[in-house]
Amino acid sequence: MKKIVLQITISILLTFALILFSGMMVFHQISNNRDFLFHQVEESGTYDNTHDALIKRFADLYNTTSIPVSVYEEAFSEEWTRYAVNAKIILATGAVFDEAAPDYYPARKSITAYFEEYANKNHVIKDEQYQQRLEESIDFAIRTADTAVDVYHLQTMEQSGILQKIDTLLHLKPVLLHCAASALLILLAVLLFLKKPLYWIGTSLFASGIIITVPALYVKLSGLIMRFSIKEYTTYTLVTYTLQSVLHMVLCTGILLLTTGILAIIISMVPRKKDINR
Amino acid sequence: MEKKLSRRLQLLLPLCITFFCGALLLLASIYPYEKIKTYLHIGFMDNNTVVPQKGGIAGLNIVETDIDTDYAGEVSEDGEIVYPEYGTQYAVLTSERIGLYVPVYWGGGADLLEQGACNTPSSQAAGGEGNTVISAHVNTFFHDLAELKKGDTVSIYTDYGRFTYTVTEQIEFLSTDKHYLKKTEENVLTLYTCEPNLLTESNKRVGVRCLLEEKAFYQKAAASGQEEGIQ
Repeated sequence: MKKIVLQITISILLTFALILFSGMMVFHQISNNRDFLFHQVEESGTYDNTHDALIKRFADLYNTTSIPVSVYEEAFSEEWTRYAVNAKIILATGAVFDEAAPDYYPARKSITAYFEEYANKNHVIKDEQYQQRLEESIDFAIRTADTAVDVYHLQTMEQSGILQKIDTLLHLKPVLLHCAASALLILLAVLLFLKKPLYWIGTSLFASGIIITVPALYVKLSGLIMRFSIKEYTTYTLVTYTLQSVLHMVLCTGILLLTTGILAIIISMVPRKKDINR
Repeated sequence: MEKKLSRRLQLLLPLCITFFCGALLLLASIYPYEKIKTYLHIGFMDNNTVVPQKGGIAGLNIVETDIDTDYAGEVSEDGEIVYPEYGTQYAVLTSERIGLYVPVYWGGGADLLEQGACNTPSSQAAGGEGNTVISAHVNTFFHDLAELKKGDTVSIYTDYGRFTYTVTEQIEFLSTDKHYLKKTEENVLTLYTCEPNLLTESNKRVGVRCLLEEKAFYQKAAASGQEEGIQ
């Protein structure tokens, strides 16, 4: 009886250790490097969406500024947009500013060239007012583009303190990961010395698999992610795509644990030859 | 028998452990959930089935309408305004003196301003009591607005009536000044656009204020409105 209580207790502890370890592995996958974020941006078509939305914004503004959209298309090309989006992600995930900041020199050059051409053609005096308008236009274009390429709104998250909280979690990640891995190994080692280890390991795998899979399935089937409040096309597409990827990872982990657990339990319950001969 | 019981127990135990661990986790997650509940609600509160579209406002339906500007049937000073749906062209704004002939949409925003002038939904519709506010871009539909002078006639044709206004003053205000956009006691029409500015966005708005001189509600609109009421 004491042995069974011990086995049940260790199985319960192993379940929690498995859930923690799986969670930390998924978190590690997402947060380990920027490649995950770059991959989401690429796969969701965000580079193209950002470029198109930025150019459309400037096209809409043509009616009030009279600066043709071709000036901005020259400054903010598709390659520039890709580079700037990546730069923003690198910046927010801990790079040195000077190495990774988006380069706005093409915008300054293109807008200045247009202003000069216009001034020469229409005999506009390049006085203080002209310089002021030029600087205002450049400043406005840079601010608009800077906001547009921050596709994950990391700057906003930094200003609101959310990025700092995520940073705290990132610092805790190695500790939690090592704790979970150590607990897992110790509990597995203890179970191996007890009777029917495969059954109890299978039980823990089964329990952790169900606990991870059921909420993930609920989120998937209820369409919770698609109810994301920000309906701006680029942001909505990217965020929902990223969340769907994370959900997919969690679901796969849960199903893997569940399947392995069921198999382990079945195998452990199959009577062996020596049991049959008794 | 013992072996069978043992088998049943072996099958039930994983489920029992699952429920036990699940219940413990549920209890443990009550406090963190209460902490982040508000953010979750805000972040995922949209129950609409409208999916964002690339370019333009999701769900915006721009409808062009053929407005009759040659109606010659019976008219009356009294009648009902037929409020259009957002994004629908509901009128045509004209002024013979400056050759103005502009479709007027109910709503606002960049997409509608590309199609014509926009009647702000927070103001009155043409022919209504109070201030009717209509704006458009200076480099397209309201290019010649500044040429309207005091005493000029401006007409608005809709499906429910024809309304004639007389320009009473030319106006100028900052984009942050809402004075000319507010409700008024008199029945007026406020037309405005951006001040033309060299290569930059202006924060000044220019236009005209007009007084409603004549209301001519179409009797056919009143009759069809009565029929709908009977049905």
